[in-house]
Amino acid sequence: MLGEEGRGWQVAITTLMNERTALGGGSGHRRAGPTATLEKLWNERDPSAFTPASEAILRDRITQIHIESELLRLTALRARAAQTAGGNPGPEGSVGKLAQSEIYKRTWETCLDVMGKDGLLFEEGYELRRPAGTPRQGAPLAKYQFLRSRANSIEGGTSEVMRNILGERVLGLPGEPRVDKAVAWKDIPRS
Amino acid sequence: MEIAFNEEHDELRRTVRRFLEDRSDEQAVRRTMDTTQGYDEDVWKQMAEQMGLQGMIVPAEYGGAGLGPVEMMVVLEEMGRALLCAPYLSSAVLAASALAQAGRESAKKEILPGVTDGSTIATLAYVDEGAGWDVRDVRMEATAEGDGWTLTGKKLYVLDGHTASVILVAARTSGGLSLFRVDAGAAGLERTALPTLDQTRKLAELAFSSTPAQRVGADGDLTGGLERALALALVGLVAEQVGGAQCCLEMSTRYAKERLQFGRPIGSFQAIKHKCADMLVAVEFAKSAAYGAGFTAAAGEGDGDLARAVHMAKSYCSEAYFKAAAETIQIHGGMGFTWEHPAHLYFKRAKSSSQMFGTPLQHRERLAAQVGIS
Repeated sequence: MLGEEGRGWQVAITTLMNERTALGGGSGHRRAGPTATLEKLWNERDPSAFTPASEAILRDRITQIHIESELLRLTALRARAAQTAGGNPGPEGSVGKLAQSEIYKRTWETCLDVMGKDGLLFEEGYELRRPAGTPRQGAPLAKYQFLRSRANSIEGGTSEVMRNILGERVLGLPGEPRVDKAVAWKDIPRS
Repeated sequence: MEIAFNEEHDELRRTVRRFLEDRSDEQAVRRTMDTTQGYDEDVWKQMAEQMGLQGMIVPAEYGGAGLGPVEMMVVLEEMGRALLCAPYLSSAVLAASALAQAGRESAKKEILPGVTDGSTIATLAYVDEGAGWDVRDVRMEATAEGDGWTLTGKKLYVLDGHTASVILVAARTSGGLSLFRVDAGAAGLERTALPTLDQTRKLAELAFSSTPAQRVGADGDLTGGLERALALALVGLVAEQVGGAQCCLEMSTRYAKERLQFGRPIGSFQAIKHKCADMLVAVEFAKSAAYGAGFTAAAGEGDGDLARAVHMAKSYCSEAYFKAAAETIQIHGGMGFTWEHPAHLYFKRAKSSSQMFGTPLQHRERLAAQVGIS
């Protein structure tokens, strides 16, 4: 048996918190990961496609993503330092999953905005194939991830469920009244 | 770089929080912000004598505690949480670090002991009329007169400029940017307290007219030194923002648990719960940004690394604090919009600290140029 009798929730939540710390850790290095691809695409953009005004707007959006990506990394570092110091991961360990999926989606969306007309094309095509065919870098990666990253805020706990968890387990807010409580599983409406 | 606070930091935080809960509660803040002076002399004295707060970052040889940016950050985070009304950021942080970074030895010996024991309130006046927050924008020129100097012109948005006894003024000489000392009673100095959006933080406009000044800057051009001093003040300011934002999150969460509507605590509704969760994310990211900047400064990383960390932090923490303060009003509903509730005090502090020493947009422009987002 793990932990003490009757303290199973504590074990489960510690495991989950640790798992989510691992999931929301960003890219591990400064200026790596999705933001690196975005910044590279931006710096190699077709200048004829932009005016100074549209450049200023996109540059600011990209800089915000740059900042949040770096903060994702620093938040994971803080969480790891807290874990090493022996405690359970604190709030800093729980926000990563939610933040990461939302930042990654925005990053890939912005890649498409930077591409402009080129974003109309999907050179890889939609033929079914093995995952080994995943594009590795640049525009093809960005186009693939633009589609793939929609799953980021669904898999491993949707962003909505993550916000419930943050609200209830970290901030201690009361749960939603459950209409399925004390109802047999077979009697719960499913459609 | 590791971002981790130790036992001493935690103890410092607890001590400062206890002191401020006692001496800077909401009533005290409201009482003090209504005065033109803007601080309570007894509290200021206790901060110096009992807690040694004004001398935190002043080097030991000038009577201070010689502590670093991390300890300073802990103290300012608590001050931001309590909305302490005091010339701390101006005197103990901005002026103290300007002198430490750019002052000549004799000036440090003359001014810093008084800053440490609280008997001197010092500030830095550097923003010229029509100029930005960058020290490179300083245009005021000092005029050599006899063996001394005089200053003519205006300095705007001077933190606690109307109550400071020692004003450090940034002005140019043929050798570049330098630092001058003007005392409160100097001839040709006119000080006007300004009506501020954030009543808990006082600003003044200073007009100099052939005002005698003593050169206190070290030899040579002091742009680099003053930039480092400002970076340190920004570390202090973002720590304040984190403290205020954390307090907003706690107020909102507490209220969401207590306030009943439709027979349930409003915090059980996802519309409110998710707002709180988003605030939590913003606050944790703001902590990462502010602490990142503070630990970078403490590690003595190069100016480039510190500037990068500070641009990130000023941009992110400003917006996170504003978001937290704005949502605090919304979550508290009608009551949150009243004068009686403290939410508006945080809301005003959030916006005014966001504008001070450069807006988030300006800091992002600088960051983009620095990290090569072309």
